[in-house]
Amino acid sequence: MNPSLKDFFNEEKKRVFTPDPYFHSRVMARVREGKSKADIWALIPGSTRPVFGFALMLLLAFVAVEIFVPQIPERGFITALLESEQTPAEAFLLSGDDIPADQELLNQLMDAEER
Amino acid sequence: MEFDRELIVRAQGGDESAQEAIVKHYSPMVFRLISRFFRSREDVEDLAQDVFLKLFARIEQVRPDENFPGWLARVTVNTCYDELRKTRRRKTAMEIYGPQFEPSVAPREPDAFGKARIALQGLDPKLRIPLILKEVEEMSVEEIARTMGLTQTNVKVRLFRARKKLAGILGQP
Repeated sequence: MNPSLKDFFNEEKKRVFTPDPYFHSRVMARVREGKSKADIWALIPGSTRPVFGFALMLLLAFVAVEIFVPQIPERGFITALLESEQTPAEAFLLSGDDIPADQELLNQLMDAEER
Repeated sequence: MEFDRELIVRAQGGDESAQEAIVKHYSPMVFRLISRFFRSREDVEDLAQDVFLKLFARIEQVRPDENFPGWLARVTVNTCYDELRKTRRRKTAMEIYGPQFEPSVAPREPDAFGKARIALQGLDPKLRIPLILKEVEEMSVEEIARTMGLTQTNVKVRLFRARKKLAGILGQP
């Protein structure tokens, strides 16, 4: 090795930073902060995380479809009206009722009639 | 050794005073190692904090009978390696996509140490780290191999390439 590089490396040996007296306090503060932020992923073993993530994604996709995709009749308007049997979704969409009867309200009405 | 063993067992059980004692006892070593690769105090401090956070996140993996300082040195060197690679990628990206500045004053010619420093910074971290560990930290090839998780032959090859490349950059045989 050439002399200038040797001198350079010798000079580098002298260049050392040392921790200040509060370094350990800062590290421990970050350790505590990290513990409080431990989320659900920290509880799941690393090997099962992909499976868990995939299952969670499927579940969220199902919920999103249920919530955001509107219910549409499976048959045409006239066919559905003429058929004797209607699906609940068709009955709701084609009957013209704004709100389907609430079960509790229905029970109260039946009670009053019986009395 | 007994000191390490007891501290590690307590730290693994979540004892904060043991964790704090580990930080106090080993932070000078971690700082010294990081100082070999980074020149700003802020960088050294940030990386030292990261090293201890990684250590406590993986404390379960430490076997109390294992050589703990060696294990910690490996975590430290790996952290430096990751950071050096990130810095290198950022620098390359800035050179390609960043704004172009025309210096108003011609840059001063660096002295011999400056040239050596620039040449060393230009080396790939894969070559730079073993060279610094050998020449500055005065580690043996075996220790470097253990710290970097390489074979001794691999370390020797990297040292040879690093020296050859440095000589090429500095224009010396």
